[in-house]
Amino acid sequence: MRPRPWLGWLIVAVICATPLVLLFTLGPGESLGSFAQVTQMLGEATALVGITAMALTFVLSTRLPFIEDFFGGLDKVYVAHGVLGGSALALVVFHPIFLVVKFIPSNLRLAALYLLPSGFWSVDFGIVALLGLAFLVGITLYSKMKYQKWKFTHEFLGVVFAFSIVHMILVRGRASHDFIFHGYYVFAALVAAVGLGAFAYSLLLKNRVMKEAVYVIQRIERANDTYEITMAPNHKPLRYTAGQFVYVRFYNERLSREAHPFSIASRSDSPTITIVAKSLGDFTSDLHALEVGDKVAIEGPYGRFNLSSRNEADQVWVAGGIGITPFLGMAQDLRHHVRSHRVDLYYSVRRADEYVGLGQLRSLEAENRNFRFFPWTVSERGFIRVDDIAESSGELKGKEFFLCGPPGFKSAIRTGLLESGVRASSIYEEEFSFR
Amino acid sequence: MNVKTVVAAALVSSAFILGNIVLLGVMRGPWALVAHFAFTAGLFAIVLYALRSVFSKRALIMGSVMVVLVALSTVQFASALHAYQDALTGGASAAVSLESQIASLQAKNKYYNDTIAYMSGAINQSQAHVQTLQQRIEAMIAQQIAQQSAPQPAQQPSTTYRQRYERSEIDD
Repeated sequence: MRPRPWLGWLIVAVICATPLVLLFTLGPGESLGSFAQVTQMLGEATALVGITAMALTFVLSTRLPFIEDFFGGLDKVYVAHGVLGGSALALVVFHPIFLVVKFIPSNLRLAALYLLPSGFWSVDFGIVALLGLAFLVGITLYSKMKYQKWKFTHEFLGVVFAFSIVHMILVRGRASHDFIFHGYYVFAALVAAVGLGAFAYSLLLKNRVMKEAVYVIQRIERANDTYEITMAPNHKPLRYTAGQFVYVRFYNERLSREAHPFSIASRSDSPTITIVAKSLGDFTSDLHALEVGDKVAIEGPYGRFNLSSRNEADQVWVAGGIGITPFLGMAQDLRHHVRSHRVDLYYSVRRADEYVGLGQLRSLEAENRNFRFFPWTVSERGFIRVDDIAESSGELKGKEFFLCGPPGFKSAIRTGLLESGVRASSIYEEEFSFR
Repeated sequence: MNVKTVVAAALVSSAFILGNIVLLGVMRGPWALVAHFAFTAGLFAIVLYALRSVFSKRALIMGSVMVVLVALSTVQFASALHAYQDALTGGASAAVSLESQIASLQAKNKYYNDTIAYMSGAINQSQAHVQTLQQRIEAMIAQQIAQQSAPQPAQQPSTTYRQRYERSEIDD
């Protein structure tokens, strides 16, 4: 199936808009006569859309396979998860503002007391949920804490969501003349069931349901701060396509037992799996402790960044730094694909000693006349630009582009491509880093 | 614009609005304005610090000046809001006082009206009673006149006690 990332976003948008539709069709819309009524309606709308979005973020974090198809890969699912979570917070923080604004002109003290805990459990649950959400999402987006601690704090979002649900259900009973639609409790129950169900699944069941293949580290090659780790299956090997990624859990006493995502650098039919990791974060900086023979649990594969679903147009692959990893496997796959189209790979690194798999790529270029390889050292030639690519690969329109690398690098190339007339639908990106 | 920027903007703007509502609503007098100024300036200082890598030194200095101006102008706004609300509260209490006076007068008016009605009823009743009495007196006078004008029978001499005693009509 050709990836359709817009389909996932469309579904998310429709679900998030449901409370708005219900509010306007089943709510007392005709009584929106005063400023207070309009702001009350806005306050309720922001809260309902926000809590619906929150419920969906939990669904997106379940890693259920069918969700990948709607977004074009698990990496995109996690990006959607982040965007949706941030949007939910951005909406929910305006919920109390819209509700309180009607008191401000006449009685500011009443407005202030409305925002403070007052002994009404229904409201106090909402206040705690809002502050908790702001704190936890703030940590998620802006803190630089270690992955383990970050993940631990992230799991409390489920508690915050539960508080929001309690607020959502209790506050309805207290409000005697509001604008909530008929069938409100049915909607609240659905949101609660979906959100809390997905959260409970991720917390309690996901690790038991997901099958992990057991591998053993066969070879470790270290160059500067980059590790190329090859693993052999203990029993049955995983079936994967080059360009996909897997979650890897290393069983080594000096490393965290948390599973981390790594792109697969080996070809599709390889009996072993090779990953390439660079010491960038708190976890990867401990990879030096790994030893040959260490047991590894691999979950996956995930992602749709591969050749099988694309058109037969000429392709341009652009890699930045460690973003070369998926292309290493995809380039090996080209030997077995009977294709007439050409593939040009541009590989940009800051310094010449940062190249990974340089020899392998050169030999693949020598073997395959449809594959061309363009290494690019920034310290010698400056940042690679789309014009440089066009100079070597010719007309860019009509080609398909695969980008993998740091966000700034990808963004610059993508912008240049769009300015050159390349259609957005012809550009495929692998999310380089997601938590 | 990425999700981090959107969320940061939402958090800062909502913190600014909600924080100031609480500060200005709960606290009164000069301390409310001091707390409000400190909160606003602190919030904008955090924003400038977060944007330190985005803007140049000159832009940050300009931004700091703007922060102080914004904080001062919001203090002006806050004091104007306080004055407005005080006036509103004063007007409201005056209105309440007038209303209570009106209610009191209305109650008094009702009492007087009731009293007048009661007194009128009593007067009417008294007048009717007087009229009845007058009619009775007139009837009695008429009866007496009629009796006086009728022929009188011969008058028998009355027996005295002694006479009756002497006739032994009375036992000892």
